[in-house]
Amino acid sequence: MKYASRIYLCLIFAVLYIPIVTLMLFSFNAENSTAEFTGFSLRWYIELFSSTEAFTALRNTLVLAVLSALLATVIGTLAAEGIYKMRSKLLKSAINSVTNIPMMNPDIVTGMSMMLFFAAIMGILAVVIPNISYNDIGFAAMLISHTTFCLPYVILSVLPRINELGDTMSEAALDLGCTPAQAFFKVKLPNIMPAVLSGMVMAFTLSLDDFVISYFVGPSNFQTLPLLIYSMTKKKVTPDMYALSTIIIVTVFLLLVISNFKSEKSSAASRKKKLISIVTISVAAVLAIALVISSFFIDDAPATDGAADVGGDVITINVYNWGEYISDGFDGSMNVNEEFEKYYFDKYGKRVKVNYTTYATNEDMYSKLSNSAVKYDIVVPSDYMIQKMIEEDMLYEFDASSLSNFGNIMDDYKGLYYDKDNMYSVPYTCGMMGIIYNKSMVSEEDVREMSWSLLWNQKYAGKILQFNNPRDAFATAMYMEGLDVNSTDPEVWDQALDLLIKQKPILQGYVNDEIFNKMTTESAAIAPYFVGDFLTMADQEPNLGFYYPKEGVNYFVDAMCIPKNAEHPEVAMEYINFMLSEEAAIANAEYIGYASPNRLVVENDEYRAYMEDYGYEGENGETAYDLLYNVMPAEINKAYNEMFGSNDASCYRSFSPEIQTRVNTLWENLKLSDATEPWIHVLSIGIVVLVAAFAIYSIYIKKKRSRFYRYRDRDNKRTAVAK
Amino acid sequence: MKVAGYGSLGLTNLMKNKRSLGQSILAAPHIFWAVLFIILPLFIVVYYAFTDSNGQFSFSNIASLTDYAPIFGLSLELAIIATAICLAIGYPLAYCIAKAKPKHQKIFIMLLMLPMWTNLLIRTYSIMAILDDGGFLNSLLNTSFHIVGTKGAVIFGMVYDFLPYMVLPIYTCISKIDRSMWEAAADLGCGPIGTVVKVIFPLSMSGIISGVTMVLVPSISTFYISQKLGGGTFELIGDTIERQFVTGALNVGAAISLVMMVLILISITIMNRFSDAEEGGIIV
Repeated sequence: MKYASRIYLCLIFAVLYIPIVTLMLFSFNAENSTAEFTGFSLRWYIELFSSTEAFTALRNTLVLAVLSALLATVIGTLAAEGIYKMRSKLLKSAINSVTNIPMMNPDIVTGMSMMLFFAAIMGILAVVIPNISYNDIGFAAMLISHTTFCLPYVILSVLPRINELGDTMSEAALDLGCTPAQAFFKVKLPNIMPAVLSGMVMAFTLSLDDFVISYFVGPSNFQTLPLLIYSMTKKKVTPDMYALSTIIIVTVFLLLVISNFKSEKSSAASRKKKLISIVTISVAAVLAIALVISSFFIDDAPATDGAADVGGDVITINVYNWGEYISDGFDGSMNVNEEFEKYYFDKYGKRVKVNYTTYATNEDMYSKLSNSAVKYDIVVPSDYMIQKMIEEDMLYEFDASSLSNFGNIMDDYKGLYYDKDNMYSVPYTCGMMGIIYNKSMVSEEDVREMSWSLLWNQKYAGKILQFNNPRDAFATAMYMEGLDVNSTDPEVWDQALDLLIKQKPILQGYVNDEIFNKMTTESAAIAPYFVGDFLTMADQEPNLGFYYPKEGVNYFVDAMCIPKNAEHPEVAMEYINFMLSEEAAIANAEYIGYASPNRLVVENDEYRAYMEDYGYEGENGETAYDLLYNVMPAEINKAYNEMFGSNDASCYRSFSPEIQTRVNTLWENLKLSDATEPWIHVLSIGIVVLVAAFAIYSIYIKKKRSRFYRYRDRDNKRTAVAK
Repeated sequence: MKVAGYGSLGLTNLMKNKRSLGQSILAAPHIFWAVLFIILPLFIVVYYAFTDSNGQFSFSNIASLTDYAPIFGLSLELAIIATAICLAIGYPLAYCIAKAKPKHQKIFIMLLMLPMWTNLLIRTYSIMAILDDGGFLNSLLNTSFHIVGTKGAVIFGMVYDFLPYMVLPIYTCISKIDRSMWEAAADLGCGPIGTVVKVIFPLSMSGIISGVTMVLVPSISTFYISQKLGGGTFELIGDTIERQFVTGALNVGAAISLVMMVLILISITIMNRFSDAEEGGIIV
């Protein structure tokens, strides 16, 4: 029995710790992989300690956790005492049930309600303070939300202890001449302290770990660690996040061990007290260490900080861009945002801070912009989205040709269909959609067909990926069938839906940026994606190939725009101008891997040499440079001409609201068209039946027992009376 | 109770009442907070659920929920299975820990809590990196198990992530059971298994119920686990809400949230009927 329990414990803990140990192992990986261990290195720790993003997030997380835990503890402890003193049972239970709502409610509902609440608050505030942005109240919103969901845990921890303690002690104190306040602070509080502290630690942990509520409420200028990790896991987690987790877990582990070890030595009586103080001290120590470390490494101030305080206030501009869509200093590349801060300071003597956040799809960006009160200064939508945003009057009008570097944009890319007079946008990158395949997993003759139908090939069932957004996913089916991707005919969309439903059973999954991970670890064999991202993947996994399907592909241009409600449009224009400069544009083009619309980039010999030497070789010996700029099979030419000509087809156009709703509904139907495996029904129904049977049985037993006691009591009474 | 009552005269009783009234004011900040930040936001959810995107009163969001019934069903089923597995694994675990020496108990509880200090997202991602088709496990064993992308993987992720929430309340409950109960059961002729089934299990019911609640609720509403381990071929209700949030269909999102909340609060109330514990649940 004893051995069995030991084996059981070991087994469960082993399973529980496998992912954590693997995570620690891969934090020492030499390569940028979380699946294949290639060698030991401290590279990711160095990377982590030089990443201001991670440390800012860590500091934000800690500050938020400490403040919300403190606030929740104070309010919660007072409330527990107050609730205890309440005489009305009804009021008591009413307060208790309301308090428990955030605990009982799923996080996602609390998050949703908080988000809507703060949106309403913003609506009211906007009337009073015309120029307010969500970022101004963002931190307060986060603090309020975190405190709200921490509160019930504090009360739940403190209230039972107060109930247990009773009134006798504080009454004695009052009788001996204490004021009520003294009685509370000198007598009651020390006695309930363990419960208060455990409530606080609980609140701290919960706030630290919270992702869902922060995800809904979080402003763009206050990123917490879970949010950072989420944005990273959308694409590919680099092992530096593993390194950070390793550091956190090792620190916590050491502190727990130390506190345990120390309390062993002391006598049983003082143990509890000591334990409490040790827990407090260790929590404080973690915070202090973390804050000190983070303040060392955080370079929160703009890159121009060293240049003394000339300009006074720091202007913050909010840049909202696609994930992995700017050269960020990784691996020795240029940190474009920092360079801009320096450039701006040199030019105007004013300090600017670039607050850079990312999104995964055009639609995400659009809804964030139109639904929340977050204000951005720069966004980088694709062509059709720009068209839509111009139509809806969401973009700031500025004359792009007034920018001194606008001449660097090649003529072809000026006056595109969505912005004929260059009044709203400046092209950032352009590229094509195509099919990525794994050369060792896909047979050559299947590739040679150069068709979208590879995505429907039964032979590769379970190894195929599809876009996880309606526009691109529908497009793959529509290009294959030669349908118009901008069709206004609902039947055309139904036709495409049928194809996608047919494809669903052979898919491994619908993915967005997860594709990087799936393709480079050879988890999947075939996926539709964009050429620039393909080059990034090919850099890591040479076994990948790419082709433009013959039926036609999407040609897109992503362009920098300024939203209408931007706070600093002049600085934003300066930012756009800076991005067009040779240095920044080349750094970006090399980093992102998409084609550049910038003449200075395309004609630059070094850049050309870099791309030709990229480590990619196509079937006919073409290089990465060719893939981006020269490979222009007839189909691409067609797409290209359509983008730059006048007729519409191959590039996306903005939908009418009716078609948009239609597409969303169809997409939902696709997601819903899922045949649940029978074992799930059987198992879950079985469990429900079992639980119900148990409940009925226990009710039956209870009734039987109470009947027995009732009879017994009656009998006892009778015998007593008889006596 | 009565004995204590004799000691206090009518006058002090009156004073005590006054004091109590004065001191229940301490709850005022909390009540204010709760009304403003708990109740009001829920009313806003209700408002959104019953209006269309132009702010006009409408039932269309609620009516459209029938489309989501299969997703509700699937989420519920997966969550029920995950909770049952958590209970099946977690109860013996809590029992083993509670039976261990006090010195060891502390270590086990620490080991159980430690993973919770690693972010849930990172843990889930780590599972994905291990179980993926080209992941660590498959490359280590040179196999090609297809796990990620199945519903089994999602259940595994739920069990893995939420197991501590099941074990901790049950452990607290079992370790609070008076030793004399075990002895009494043994004295009255119960074997070790009989003791667990007839005495310990019923007495730890409140722990089980709070454990079940704490696993079931996050399992039903998760969207991260299903996104990472489910491969995106199927959706859970959390994914649907998240998608509505991301695409800006807030009214439908609010309607789904509302229904989910009502269903969960009802089922929790029903569950708590079976719990004898006075204070809802016990945590840690």
